[in-house]
Amino acid sequence: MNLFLAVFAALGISSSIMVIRANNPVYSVLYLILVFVNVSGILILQGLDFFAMIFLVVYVGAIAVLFLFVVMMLNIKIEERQESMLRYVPVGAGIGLIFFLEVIIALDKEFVPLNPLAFTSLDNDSALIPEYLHWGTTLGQKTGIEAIGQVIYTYYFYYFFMASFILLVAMIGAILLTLHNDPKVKRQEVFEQNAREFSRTIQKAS
Amino acid sequence: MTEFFPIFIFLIISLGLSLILVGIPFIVAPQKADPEKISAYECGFDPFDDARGKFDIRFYLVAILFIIFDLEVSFLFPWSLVLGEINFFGFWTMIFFLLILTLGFVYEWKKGALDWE
Amino acid sequence: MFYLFESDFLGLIPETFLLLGLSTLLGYGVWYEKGRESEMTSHQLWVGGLCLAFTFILLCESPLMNMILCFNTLIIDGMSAYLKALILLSTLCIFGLSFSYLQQERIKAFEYVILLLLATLSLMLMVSSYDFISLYLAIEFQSLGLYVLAALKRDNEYSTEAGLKYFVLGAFSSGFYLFGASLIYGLTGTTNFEDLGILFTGVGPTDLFTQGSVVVGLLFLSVAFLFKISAAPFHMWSPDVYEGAPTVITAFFSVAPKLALFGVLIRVFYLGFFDFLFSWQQIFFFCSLASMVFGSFGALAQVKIKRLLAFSSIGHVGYMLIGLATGSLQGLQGIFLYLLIYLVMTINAFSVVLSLRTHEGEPRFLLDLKNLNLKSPILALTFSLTLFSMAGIPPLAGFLSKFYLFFAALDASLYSLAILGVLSSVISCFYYISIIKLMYFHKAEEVQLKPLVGIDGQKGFLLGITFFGILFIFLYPSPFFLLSHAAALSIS
Repeated sequence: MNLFLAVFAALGISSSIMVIRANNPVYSVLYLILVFVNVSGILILQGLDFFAMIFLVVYVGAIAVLFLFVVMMLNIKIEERQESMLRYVPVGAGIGLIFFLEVIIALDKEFVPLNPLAFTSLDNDSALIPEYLHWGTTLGQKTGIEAIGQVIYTYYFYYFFMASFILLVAMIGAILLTLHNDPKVKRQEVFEQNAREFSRTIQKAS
Repeated sequence: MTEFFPIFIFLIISLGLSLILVGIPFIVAPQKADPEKISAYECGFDPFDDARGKFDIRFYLVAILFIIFDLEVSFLFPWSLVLGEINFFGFWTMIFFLLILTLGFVYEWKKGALDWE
Repeated sequence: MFYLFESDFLGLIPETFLLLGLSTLLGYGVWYEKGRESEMTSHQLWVGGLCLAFTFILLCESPLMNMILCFNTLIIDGMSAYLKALILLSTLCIFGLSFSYLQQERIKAFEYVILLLLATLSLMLMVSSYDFISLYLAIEFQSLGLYVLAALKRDNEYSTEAGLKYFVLGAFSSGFYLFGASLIYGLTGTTNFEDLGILFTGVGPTDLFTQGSVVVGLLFLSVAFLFKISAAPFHMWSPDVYEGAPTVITAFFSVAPKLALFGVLIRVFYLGFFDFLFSWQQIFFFCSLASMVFGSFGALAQVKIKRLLAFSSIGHVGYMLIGLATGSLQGLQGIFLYLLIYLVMTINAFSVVLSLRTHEGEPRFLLDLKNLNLKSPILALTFSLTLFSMAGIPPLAGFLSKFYLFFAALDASLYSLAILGVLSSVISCFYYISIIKLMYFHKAEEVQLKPLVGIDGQKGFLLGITFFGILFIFLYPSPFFLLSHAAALSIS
């Protein structure tokens, strides 16, 4: 299992580096797809199978496709990118180091030890590692997707409604910004054509 | 976790097969690249411009609308599994969600967003 | 299951009404739009304004004062009622300003109204949110609508640039927010603000090692919020976005998201993380200083009207952050009072900017304000008094709000903030007075002055109301004091 995690994580990180380093923007999007697939693999290892499927369906199937459309629409030629990346190395490395240190500070910390009595033996003054009772394994098993479903439509329906509003705004916004109805194009109004009555279409004019 | 192992086998086999199919020509086929051979053909002339036509923005709009309805369907997946347990309240929350998205659908239909010339 | 949430729907009546109203407007607009585009926008504006007025009445007459809704994800209290009322008022004012603007700019998209109503709904839900996830959803909801509105004029490069910059910065700051929120969740196991507040009780300056990781999460959260309210040093995006977006949308940007985000800041930091006061006080101290300094010095170099207003709003955000940094009840009351007066002043300023339109188009540069005294003396008088109020000159409304905030800062021993606040007020006086000089004392050239296109009824009404507000709030401020005090008390 650790081997799988190592492989997926290594491939994921190297693909994400290649996303920013690839010359051709289409290659960047393809590496992004590879990142998503690797993350989806890591999610399966964590036991979140529903999210892995959703990653593949939504991220790869819709969002990466959208990225590809946009990249093809912008039509970036490879020769146009002349600036060297080396200018950004000092500041970028500095900020990256700060981020990294902050993550290290926050890593593997618990603010609330669950049960102070359930510590392992206190020999050789090692850091106290609390022992947790894995409640999930003591009860009946429920798949991830069912667990999500039981909660999101009932107790946390507010989040669900907010998701619908966000999708509505996205629809209105996308159509508002990109729809271009060419006035020269002739369209058919099917219902009006079908509702035409013969007795009223032709009239004597004299 | 072990139920995903066949998927992993599938992944390995497909990866291996595609690598073989792509890699073997590199090894086996003769490759003598020549400026005349790899240049683009435009009836004997040098190419005037890039071969790509102008990409229509309607593709982008179709892709965005696809994402939105895809997300709607992905919300339908867990709901369909647990419908027996969430009783009427869960049913009606999903109906409300679908109503909001139907409103967006009506908007998009009347605007003619998916009409292709 | 419905019995669990019965009263929740009663508490959310204003938002539900707004949602039903805007759905009806959306359906009406898209069905009957063909052939009637020019009237459709004004129809939508009138009915949308009516919808907002009814929502306002429903909000004020709501019998439910304090309530936690929807399974600990939303809260209704005094502060949320106050801020929601202000948000609805601000959107009503924006609708009033849009009547002539949409006609003059020939914007025929009725979705403008729908998106503004959706943004208002999201701001109201943002103020009520009680959980990191509901807050994130509301922030994204609001941001998405505003990204589209900033880029509304599709053929104008400034507008497209504004939309793009706003989107990139907004998405970036939402990324920071998610990172901070997920760190907090990973450390504590809960996302609810009340639970976090209870969990952190009595933490204080002990056990710095575990506390340090929470401070890291808090740092990311505060950076995200500071990006969104365009406080320095995260203010880079706002002059470009404010300049490029359509002027009415700029007015909305200056007022409404700041109202909601200050409510959010108060809820997150005063309710959720009050025990880490000594950590986040320093963050807001520094950002307040930087905002006041950058706001006043940055505006000195500007030659365009909307960029100047953007920098002045950065300065105002700096003053409001003083109130946030105090950690006291007086500071909260100062913020609420300042938000109200800032609303009045900004609506007035933008109404004036919108009234300066000539036949050639709307004014972009400060020099277009030249000799306004000769073109329209009342407009010049209104604008000059608004600018004096923004500078904080007594006996105008701006002075009252700054006075309160500086006193709150002095009570909390933030002496340098108060001193620097006064100093930056003095510096901002300089450029406000230079605008007044342009309007009144500029040499009139022989060239004909371009006459202004007339001001329509709604804009004139707004100008008048806000002008009298600025003049006379100082004489009778007690209702505003009572309101803001009640709002502040609800947090304690």
